[in-house]
Amino acid sequence: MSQYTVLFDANVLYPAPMRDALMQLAVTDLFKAKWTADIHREWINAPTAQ
Amino acid sequence: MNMLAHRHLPPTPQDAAIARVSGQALSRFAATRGPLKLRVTDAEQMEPIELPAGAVALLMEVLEAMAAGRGVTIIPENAELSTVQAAEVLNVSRPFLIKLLEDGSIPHRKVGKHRRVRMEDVMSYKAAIDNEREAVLDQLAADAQDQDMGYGSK
Repeated sequence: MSQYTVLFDANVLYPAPMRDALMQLAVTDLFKAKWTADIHREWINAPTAQ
Repeated sequence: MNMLAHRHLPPTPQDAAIARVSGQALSRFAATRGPLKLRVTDAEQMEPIELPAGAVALLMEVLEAMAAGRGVTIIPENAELSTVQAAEVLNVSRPFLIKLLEDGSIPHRKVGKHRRVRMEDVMSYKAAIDNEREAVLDQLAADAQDQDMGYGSK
């Protein structure tokens, strides 16, 4: 029932602890979590680049 | 008969201030999660009024919301919602909600051209989907820890 939308950038989606904590909050309806396909590609590249 | 939602607009600053004080006073007693007996001092009334546990919990929620300056809507379980209201409750777009109705994920009935959804059906869908989300997030966090994605060395 939240009216707020929060954009997760790639540095939130990876490393994982921040993502896991914020996603938990999103699931309790504190805000709507959104990210774009570009952001998704960016975070996917981060762990594989190591 | 279908019950209606009871909607109260955001309180005045004065009412919010009263709610803040009464909410704090009541919370000490509400913490027992049992029924409460209240006495009205505005009238000459000796017999305490007993509120069942569920009503006490609801009253606490109402006072907390009012203290924060928020309006409150109470929707009985058997209330019927429009598609717009149901979409708001689930925090999804109306087209997505219509899809859920059409694929049978949430039961609905038609009144003329309009679709009506029962609050309890909306809430049981929400409970199911929330469980599913929790399970997915738990798995995601577990995988991230196994694969050393930022949780530090084990």
